Amino acid sequence: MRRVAIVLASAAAVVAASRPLASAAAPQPRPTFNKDIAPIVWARCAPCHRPGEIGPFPLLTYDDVTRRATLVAAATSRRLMPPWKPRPPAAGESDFLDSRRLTDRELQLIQQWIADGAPEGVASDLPPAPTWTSGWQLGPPDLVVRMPEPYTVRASGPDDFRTFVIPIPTERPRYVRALEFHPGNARAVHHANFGVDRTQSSRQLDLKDPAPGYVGGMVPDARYPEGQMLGWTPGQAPHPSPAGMAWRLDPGSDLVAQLHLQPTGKPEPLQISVGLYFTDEPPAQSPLGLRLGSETIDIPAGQRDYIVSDSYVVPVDVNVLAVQPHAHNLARRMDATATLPDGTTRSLIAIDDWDFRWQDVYRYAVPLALPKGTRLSMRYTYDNSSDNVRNPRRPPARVVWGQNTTDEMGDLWIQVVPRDAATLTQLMQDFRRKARAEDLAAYTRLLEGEPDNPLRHDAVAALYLDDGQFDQAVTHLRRSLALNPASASTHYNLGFALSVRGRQEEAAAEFTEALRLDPDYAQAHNNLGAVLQLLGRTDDALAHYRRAIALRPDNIDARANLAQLLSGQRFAAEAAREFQQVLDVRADHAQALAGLAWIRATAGDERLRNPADAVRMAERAAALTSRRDLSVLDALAAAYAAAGRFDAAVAAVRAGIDLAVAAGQPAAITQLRQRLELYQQGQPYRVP
Amino acid sequence: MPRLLAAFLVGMLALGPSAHAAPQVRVLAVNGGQKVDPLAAPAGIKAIVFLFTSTDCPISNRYAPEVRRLATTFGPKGVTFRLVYPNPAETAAAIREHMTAFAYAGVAQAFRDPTLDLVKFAGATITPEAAVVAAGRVVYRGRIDDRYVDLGLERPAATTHDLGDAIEAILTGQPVRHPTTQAVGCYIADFAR
Repeated sequence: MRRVAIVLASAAAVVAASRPLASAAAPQPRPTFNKDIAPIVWARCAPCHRPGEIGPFPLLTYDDVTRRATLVAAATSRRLMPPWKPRPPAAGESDFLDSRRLTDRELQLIQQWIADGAPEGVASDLPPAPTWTSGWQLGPPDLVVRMPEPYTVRASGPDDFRTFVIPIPTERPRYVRALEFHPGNARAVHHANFGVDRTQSSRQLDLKDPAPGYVGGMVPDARYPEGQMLGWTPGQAPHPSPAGMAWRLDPGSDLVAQLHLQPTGKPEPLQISVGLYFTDEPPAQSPLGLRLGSETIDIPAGQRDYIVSDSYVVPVDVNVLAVQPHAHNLARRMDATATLPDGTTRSLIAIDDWDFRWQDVYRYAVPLALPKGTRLSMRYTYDNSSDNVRNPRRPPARVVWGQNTTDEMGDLWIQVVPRDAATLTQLMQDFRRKARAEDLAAYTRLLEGEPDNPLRHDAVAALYLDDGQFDQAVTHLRRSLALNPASASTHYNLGFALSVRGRQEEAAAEFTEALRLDPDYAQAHNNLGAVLQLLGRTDDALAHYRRAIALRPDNIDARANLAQLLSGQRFAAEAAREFQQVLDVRADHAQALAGLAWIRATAGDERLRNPADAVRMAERAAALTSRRDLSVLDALAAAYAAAGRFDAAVAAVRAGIDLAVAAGQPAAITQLRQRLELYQQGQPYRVP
Repeated sequence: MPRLLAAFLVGMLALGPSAHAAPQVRVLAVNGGQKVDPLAAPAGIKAIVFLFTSTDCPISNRYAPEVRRLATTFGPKGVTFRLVYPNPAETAAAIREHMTAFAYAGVAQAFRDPTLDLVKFAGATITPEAAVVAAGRVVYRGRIDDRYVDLGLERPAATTHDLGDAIEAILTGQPVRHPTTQAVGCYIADFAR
């Protein structure tokens, strides 16, 4: 008896240690499906695990769950399901919206319930089942676009990464407040990202691939519109943009959907559709996507702890709305933090077991307010050894930066809104400097490895062009052409750089060569037209502008140039029509605003004049160019004079003269001084 | 004490036969529903591969093309492939529909095993899991290959092809190097609840 008593005592101690919660209070009633488990399953599992959604089996009823009980226990205890990668927020920090993570209490209830044999419980305990909205969750969309024909995901093999291009039929610019994605076949679509392509680059790739869409990811011309992060993962509720942050959709744009498709064992046809929700309200402010990370990733074979880290100090006060980490299969851990000027830190996101397949856009339930001077930093760890079962190369091999899934990436996109909308440009320019310096370092490094690859010279030259370092750009473009003289785009870029440096004759020769190689090169026609116009060959210029527009009716730069030229040649009515067409496509086109303002202010034909309109457009153009553009200031002054506001006209024209003096443009100085004299006498300028 | 000992002995008895001698195993034919002996095979068949599967287990389904490939490769060499659906809730009609969707028809025969007779005989616990029977004995049981390492952990491609290797060994008279491996997928135990 004594022995027995001792055994019982130690057994009780074991029970107490393994269930500290239960031992503290009175014994808790056993959880039942009807009372405790159904609400958890309906909230956490059923959004995907119901008919028609990606979950491979339903989890709605008692029978559904008990027939999967062991699987549910295994998947939840390891936190594989519901899929949610970020570490939970520290006390006092904001969680992400739509967090699917089970609370510790929910997890404990599920495990306890299964360990107890999964009792159903009393029927009267079962709450009413949830009702699911079928179709569009945000209500009927203003516009639905659908893939014109289905694509079939093959039955087996590696995952399929494919991009689909869907034209958006809209006659005028729209402001999009929300986008809702329907995969068409939920089983096969693992996640999606959306961009907008205002060029036709994505469409060209689609046309080259005989099947719907094309293999691979988005091209640089397809991008998130204005700092938006448009991603979709299964079970994610669609979210409209925050109030006042709609994004602008221009006519002629294509929606580009990059899909991660997963073979299911049988062919899966799918036809995605996207519902767009518009608003008449133009955005009051735009978010900005800051990308931290590296494009010089180079991981030796076998290395287990390769680090990518980066940081950026925000120059203005910002609110952080969302983050989107991105890497491929070698990344294991991700950490991102904000260090405030007072030294306090807070986590932006932390993922201990990165899984490419469950990448997501994470939106903060409450935006993080970070003061100017806050350092945003990220640090990712990569494992390129064979211990990493997700390693796509076996045996492990050196892996470098690239967009293919066998390459590696390391990005953290941080969506911020400046607290003062007026500081957006400052933030944009400051961040662009950082990004450009990094891109230049990355591409220069690639070039050093392949000094005889003309494309590497082109890439470095493009960055110098973007940075305004035209002489360095010319050097690399000439080296590229020495290696491959048949590249039309390289001749084009060289022509551009030479033109900016004032070497118009040489520039014209390069554009002409680009057109000899590619006669349908619309932008080259436009630029050749511009150079010929500068050289005084207006008839030739006109012909090239018209050709550029014929090739690409959406080519608003060529249209604005044509209008400018027509305006100068006294074809004011035709010029006004062309300017208006540009503005219909892009309301903030400064050159077109100024050009049309000039006609509305100065046209000899009274029917074309409208001084109030002229002032409104010219003021907008002046704001867009920060009052640093001569021709815009000239138009602004003319508009004020036409409206009888001669003091304002004098001030504007004086600002123009100051600029012309600083830039050393004697012809412009003379012309503006004549206008000044006129305005000082209370006379508007009128085209003879 | 005596009661506990008795229970222990019963357990041993229950385990004993399935691990050793071939017992009477009966499954239901999907077409017709009659009881049949799944171990019966025409003369010339050197091995029977049982593939335990279920209609809505995603890992099972993703293996359908690989199973078809193995069946087509080894069929002409005297190896017959038989699909086994142990979930009692899966009806004959649902199974026929599943076989059509995943193009199993004509590649493998199919049986229902709602009483888990064959599951117990083979020692299977997971769908998808394979059991290879030669001369009335289970000579391989486990995964098809190692693409799935664990729930939620998947290789981009398999690095070992355990089932194919086991069949090759049997056909060439070699011992199967790893007679049992751990399959990853859905739990057969759940089906019986």
